[in-house]
Amino acid sequence: MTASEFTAGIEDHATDPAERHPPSVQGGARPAVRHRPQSAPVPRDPATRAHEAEDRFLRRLDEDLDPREAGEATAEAGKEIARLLGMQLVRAIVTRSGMTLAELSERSGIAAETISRLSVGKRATGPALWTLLALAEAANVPLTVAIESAGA
Amino acid sequence: MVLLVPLESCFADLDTARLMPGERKRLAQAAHALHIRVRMINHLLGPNCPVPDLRRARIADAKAAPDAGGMVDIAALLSRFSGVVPAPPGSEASRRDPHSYAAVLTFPRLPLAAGVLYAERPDARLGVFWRGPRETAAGAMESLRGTAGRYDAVWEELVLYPRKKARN
Repeated sequence: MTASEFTAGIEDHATDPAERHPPSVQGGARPAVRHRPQSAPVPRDPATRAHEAEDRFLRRLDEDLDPREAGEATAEAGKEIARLLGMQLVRAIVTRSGMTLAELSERSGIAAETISRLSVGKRATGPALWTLLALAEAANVPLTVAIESAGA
Repeated sequence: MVLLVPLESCFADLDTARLMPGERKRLAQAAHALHIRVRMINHLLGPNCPVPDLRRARIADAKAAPDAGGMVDIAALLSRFSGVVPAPPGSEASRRDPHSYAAVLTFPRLPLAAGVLYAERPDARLGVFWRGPRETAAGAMESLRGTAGRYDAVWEELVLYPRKKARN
């Protein structure tokens, strides 16, 4: 599940607030070495503990569910999030384009009514990818669709 | 950009001791469905989600009109928040992070719910710290209301979570 992931977003070049926080909060810098007795357990950070717990949880699910059952739940969740994410992206494209729906419709070839319906989530499975690409192109709004590498 | 953080505690074993095999199977299906849905929320919390949209004050508006006005996608998410508990008075979280709150996140037709905690300092995060039957979710949140130490423990684990290690 974590080997790769799909992301779709409108680029935002604002500085990531996480970068402004001290290394002690972010865990980004290596702290000064402290000598610890060899027998003492090394404390694990919250992320490592959570990842290990999630892996155990998923292994148990694998034992209890067959892949088809798991897949059906994934598809249902995917449809719902596609609808909500589609709303988010279409609204952001419309807003950032500065165009009226009629103008955007004319330039993208997507009916104004379709754009309107997508922006309020009236289509159960959200916009098709080609629709988003066409809208973003017509609006001159950069849209990123990427598969991230593990650990990226 | 809001970080979604499933904390260790949300993967704790559910009590299946008294369940029949069929019931255990349905519980596993529900646990899987909840897990996938929570993970996918991450897609909504990206750069197009303004941080203030997740604040507590927006929840009532979202419930009143989940599909109208504002950032409707986040409103749809917030409309599923219930049993909202602000950081208890006197807690470290209330002092350092006044927008922090905990809530129950439910999904239609799912018998399981998730407990989430929102933090905004030092950066915006939505932590998932609890998972269990819907009917016990309100009680789990109420246990945080009068216990500053318990709330702070979850809040601290969330804000100390290394951003770069988030598995989203």
